[in-house]
Amino acid sequence: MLSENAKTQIAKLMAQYPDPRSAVMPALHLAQREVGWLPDDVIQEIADLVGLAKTEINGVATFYAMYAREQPGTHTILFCTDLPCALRGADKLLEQLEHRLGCQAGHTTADGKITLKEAECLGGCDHAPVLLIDGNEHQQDMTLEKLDEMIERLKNA
Amino acid sequence: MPNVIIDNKPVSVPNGTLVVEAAKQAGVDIPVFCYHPKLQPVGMCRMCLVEVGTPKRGKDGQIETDANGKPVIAWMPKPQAACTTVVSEGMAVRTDTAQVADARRAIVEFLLTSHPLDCPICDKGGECPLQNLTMAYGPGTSRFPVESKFHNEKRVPLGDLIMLDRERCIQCSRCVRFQSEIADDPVLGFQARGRGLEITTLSDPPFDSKFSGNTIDICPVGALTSRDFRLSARTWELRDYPSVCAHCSVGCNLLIGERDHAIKRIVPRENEAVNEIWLCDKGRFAHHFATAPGRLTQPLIRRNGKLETASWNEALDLVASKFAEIKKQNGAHALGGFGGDRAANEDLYLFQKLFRHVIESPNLEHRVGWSATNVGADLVRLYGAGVGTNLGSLDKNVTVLVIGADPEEEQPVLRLRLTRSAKNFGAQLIVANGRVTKLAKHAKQAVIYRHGGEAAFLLGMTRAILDEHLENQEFAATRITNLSAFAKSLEAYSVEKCAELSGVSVEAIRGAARAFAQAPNGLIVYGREAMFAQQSDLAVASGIATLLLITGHVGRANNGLVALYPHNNSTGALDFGLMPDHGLGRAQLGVKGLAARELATGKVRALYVMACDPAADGAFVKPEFLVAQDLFLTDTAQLADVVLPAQAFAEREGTFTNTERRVQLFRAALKPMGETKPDWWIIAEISKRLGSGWNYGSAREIMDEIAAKVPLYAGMNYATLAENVQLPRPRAGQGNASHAPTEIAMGDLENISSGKTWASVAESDASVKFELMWNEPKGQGAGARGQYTLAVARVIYDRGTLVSQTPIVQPRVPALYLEINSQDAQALGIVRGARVRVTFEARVIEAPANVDGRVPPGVVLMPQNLGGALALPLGARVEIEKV
Repeated sequence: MLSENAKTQIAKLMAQYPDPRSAVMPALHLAQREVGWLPDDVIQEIADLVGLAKTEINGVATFYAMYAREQPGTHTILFCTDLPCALRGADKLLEQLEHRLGCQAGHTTADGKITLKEAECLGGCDHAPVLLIDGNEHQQDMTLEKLDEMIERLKNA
Repeated sequence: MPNVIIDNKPVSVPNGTLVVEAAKQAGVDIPVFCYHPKLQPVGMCRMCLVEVGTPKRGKDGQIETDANGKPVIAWMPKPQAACTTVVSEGMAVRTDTAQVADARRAIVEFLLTSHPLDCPICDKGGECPLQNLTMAYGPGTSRFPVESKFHNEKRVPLGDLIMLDRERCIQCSRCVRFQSEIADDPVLGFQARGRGLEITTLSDPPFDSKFSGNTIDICPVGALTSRDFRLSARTWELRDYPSVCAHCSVGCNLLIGERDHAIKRIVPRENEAVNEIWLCDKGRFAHHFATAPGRLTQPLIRRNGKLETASWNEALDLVASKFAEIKKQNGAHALGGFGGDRAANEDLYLFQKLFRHVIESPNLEHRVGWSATNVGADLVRLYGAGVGTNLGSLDKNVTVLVIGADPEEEQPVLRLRLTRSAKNFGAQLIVANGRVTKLAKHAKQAVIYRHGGEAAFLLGMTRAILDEHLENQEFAATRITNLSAFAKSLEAYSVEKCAELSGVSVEAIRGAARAFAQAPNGLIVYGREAMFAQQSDLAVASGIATLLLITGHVGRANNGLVALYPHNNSTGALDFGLMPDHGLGRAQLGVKGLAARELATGKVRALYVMACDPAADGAFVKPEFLVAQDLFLTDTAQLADVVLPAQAFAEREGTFTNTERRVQLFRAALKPMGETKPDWWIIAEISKRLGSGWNYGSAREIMDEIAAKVPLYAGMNYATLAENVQLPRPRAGQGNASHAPTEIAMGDLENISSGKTWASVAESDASVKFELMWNEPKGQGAGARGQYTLAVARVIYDRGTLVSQTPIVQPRVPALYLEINSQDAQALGIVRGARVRVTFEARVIEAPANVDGRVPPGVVLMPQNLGGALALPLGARVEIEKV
């Protein structure tokens, strides 16, 4: 369920565009920031607010990789496997990371703490390999030691 | 009208025409997958790529010409999508070049990389656009090894009726667009992207739409298949017989796909004036009654209290001798007949002829379970919508007042067509009801009146029109006898008073009045909830007549009344006078027979019941001698002394008259089951035994007699009804009417016939003058004891005999429920699904609550045709409590 505040924000977003459907993507971002992900009832709420069908909102939310339609762990790691990172050993590192977390990319650890996702370029190629934690913390020049440190920190956070 | 050259063929088409449509007119076929003439173009599949060029202009702005004086064409560097490119003056299009052939080959090859090779077991095989276009334009072989094919889920139930094969889907979005653009149920959508892109439904229940079956027809591959027809026959083994739907009164044209004397599937038959190329799911899937194992196959006679099989001669002799005996003893008035409005015109005509001319009894009815006091028979005869009215392509010059109707549940395809008129062509809808209906979404004005206030609302509109002098004075001067006296007699009813009585605001009444009176054309669509409104049905009927007359909206196409009747041939039953007070051609009679209630409660000694089930409504008293003629052993048949097995619509030919008074022919598709006989044959045999000397060899002969004897049906014999008529097909968005047939997956174009509509008095006789009259609108409140007003509605999937024979639609038949507004529910502490008790006088019904915002506060709704609620009248005041 969205908070009243979020609903007000979405109404404001809708007012910014000539066609309210333009507010769907920012509304989804807003909802995801508040709820953590986009469960069915939130999709329905946004559909009702914007005046579109649930299937249309779902179409947008599943088209873009940064919207989560499945409940993620407490923390989400986006791991870049694009060319520059790959050249600097990202694929090997990802394998190690999957091994240490005990889950494949695209899934969440059994304890529900960490979701690991493969990502397209995160804009830090000069410090490849890079990853992004919870959408705001960049980690760069990744090594095995740095990964271990990070996992330890996130598990205990 | 831009002039275009397509493959060197010049063609002139209206502004805004798409290249793909212009090509059809030039006789050039451009292959398509995602494009569909009934849907907005999206340009997704790229199959329609063609070379496009426009006249080259020099620096001076003049068109450059070559040595022969012909314009030089500047060809666009890459091929363009013909389905999204709009023609312009001088445009040239090439579809026969190597570049175009290459493009088509590439698209087909690309589609086939992820399309399985299971044509031999695919339902679409044989009528599949992908299969056909691959043969025509695709590469003969693939460059991809078969092992590298993309695989996906193959059997994904998309609701109860449709099966999705994800591998076969080519993501053209025809189904998604149909659901949002045409059906107005946007329950299908795309999910994810790229190779992961798939069709999903998020509604509950899945694929929640009454039109889902149409996506099977328009799917250009075998991705969407019918869970009813699936894998039961190859399409080329089917024989298609043109028929007409036997459910509601829209009269959708259809094709019965027959094999091995069974109906394998039903698909729409194009009729731009009735159903375009659509069918509702009830019409498409609920056909199993026609071949159900529970059908009656032999005549039955009651011996020692038990129904036992008998020969036709025994049964018919017994019926005739009993009828003769009773007539001799007590006179003809001791006999009566119910001729159900599901029977064909030929049957109904003979049924009334038997009673009026052979038995000589006026006791005839067809209205079982619905009010017999309505005056719809006269209204439609006088003011029925003009011939040529097409409810699916009404434009901004037509205002349609829809009152007391819920076409989504009762006439689904008609709702779809009215929505199309409003959405695509700008028709102005005024939707007035006591609750929110689906049609209201696209209404220019949605009016919610208090139940029982419909007549006051109409009277208020009339008064507002007269107040503002918006009446059609020219029409009034020549065709109305008493306008000024009428206006004077209305003085006591101000708009304000009508507003108070109806619960509609003064502004809303005036707004509706202006919109209706000032429109160049006006139609009134009048539904069940207004026709059978408690105590006010006469006032509603006169209110409708008055509105049509003072605005002059009668006697022309797109003007007049469309009365929405419950069954496939209700109009026919009215036309042939199966009423105690109206005869053949709806002529009013001096003598009056017994009313339906009297017939059903033993006021006659002998009762002949054909194609209806009066005993199912309760309070039925069996007369001394009861004859039931039906497909099934109905409640009435179980009580009968003689039971006569009739044939289903698919086993015989005949005609039905739809709710717009369109007479349509249906053909026999199946071998009759057992010893069943057509209704007309049975009636004729009884009549012969009563000494009538009738000699009818076929339904066709009876229709010949009708065409000669009934002026409304003049000239409507089988030959003229079957005439191949192809109407212009107005297009959404592109503004031009295409005469090319809409792509139909199956059936021959020769099967397209538009049927014939009879003209109302207002239209056929310009010398007839009309008298205005009105009836006191009985405001609500008289005798009101309960807290809540009960709206009794009908739902599409009911618990009736016909629907119950089709297992696949049963999950869609709801259990009886009570719909209540969330405000009222909260006040009573009722949550969704909680059991509630409805009390009306001494009657108590319990049902689970369905809490939503469609009924206004103070109103509760209970479906009438789910059993249980039958006995409660529309508009009754009831008490509601939580159990």
